[in-house]
Amino acid sequence: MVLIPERMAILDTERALEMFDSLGLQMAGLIVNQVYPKELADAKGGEAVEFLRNRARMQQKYLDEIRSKFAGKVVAMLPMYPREPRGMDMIEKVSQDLLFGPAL
Amino acid sequence: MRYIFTGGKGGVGKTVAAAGLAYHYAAQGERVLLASLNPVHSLSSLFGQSLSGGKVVQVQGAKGVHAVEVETTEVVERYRNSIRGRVKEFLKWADIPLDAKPFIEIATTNPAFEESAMFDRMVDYILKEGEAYDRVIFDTAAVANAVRLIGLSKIYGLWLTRMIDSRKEALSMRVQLSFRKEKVMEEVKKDPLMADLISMNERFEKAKGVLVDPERTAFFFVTLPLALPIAVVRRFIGMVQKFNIPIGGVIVNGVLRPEIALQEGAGEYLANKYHEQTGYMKLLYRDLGPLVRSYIPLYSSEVGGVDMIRGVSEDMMSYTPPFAAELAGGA
Repeated sequence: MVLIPERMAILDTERALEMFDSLGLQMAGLIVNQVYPKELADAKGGEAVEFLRNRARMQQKYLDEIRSKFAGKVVAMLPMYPREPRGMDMIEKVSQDLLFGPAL
Repeated sequence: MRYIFTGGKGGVGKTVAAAGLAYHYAAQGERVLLASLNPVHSLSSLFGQSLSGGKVVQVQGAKGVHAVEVETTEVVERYRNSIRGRVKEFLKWADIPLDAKPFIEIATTNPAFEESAMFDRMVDYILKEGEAYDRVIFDTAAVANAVRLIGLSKIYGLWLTRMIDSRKEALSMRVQLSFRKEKVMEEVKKDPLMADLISMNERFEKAKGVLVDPERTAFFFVTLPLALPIAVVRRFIGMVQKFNIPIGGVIVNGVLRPEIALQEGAGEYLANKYHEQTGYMKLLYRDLGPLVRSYIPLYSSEVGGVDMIRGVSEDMMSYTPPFAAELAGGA
């Protein structure tokens, strides 16, 4: 299952996992998408940087929640790309990040 | 316009937009009901106060806004009981000596069951509870569901008409075969299944009448300034038009403000995002321009609490990104 580090996505995922459980289905793993680089959470600077920093910190909070709620389930993490991933080049990049990118 | 629906691809901010609209109308002095029809509710966490439990509650700090997280479990259980009653009644009436259990299981464990139970509840709000409000805002799950629900009402209508016809036929045959006609006629008159089917059909017909009336209903589509959610909106506008459902417009959420994204030292990341967004919004504006009703900026934190929702409602009514102002001015 794929989720993003936000409140609603976590709630939806929990609910889906409950349904999986009730049907006796196994989930192979979770992929966390649209993760801001961790450095942003500690970046210093003006209003624009603050803007990104706030959002990155909010994500860090939800990533912690994902870590504790879905321990051992997260198999890959994808960064928030500067552009919406479209086209073969970007898809190749996504596949590289999926297989060799940083873990949660 | 009394009934407003918000729909869009998952995660685009339907609930935030619905809450912003609810706040706006309440601030104008209206008595507003904000009803979440989502399988997973988020009104409580959005407003930062408990709005759960399936009952309508007044939102603290937002005068005139009432909210309800419509409970699926309760609806589904009620539905299941009534189906249990109907199936048993049917088997009894038809003299079929079978265990009703498997039939009830089959009837109540299909994947669309929860969805149609929710639809049933929505019809209740349109025909009953909603009457006590100036405006009812339905925060619907992904718009596909919303449209499918309305499609369902068409199919239900056809199915019910067919059912009623065949029941009439069956009833008249039973009367002919029976030796005790008077007794059977009594049964016929109080057949609860027939009564149920007819009243269900009437309910759906009435609700459909409201849903396709532009004086009373409007569908709003929420999107992010990205290719995929915009494509979804485009597709759904087509679907909704096919069902004659009036379109209120498009709300664009998560719009980066240039004064933040393009300021000196902002870095390439935000600038790239900003240019990408603007590109997509220009396309949206070109194709669906007259339908774009409002923009919600991207805030530096997740929207939460009444104060931020007030901000959203104000921005929805006043914020225009510079590109849109330019295009509108040039036109």
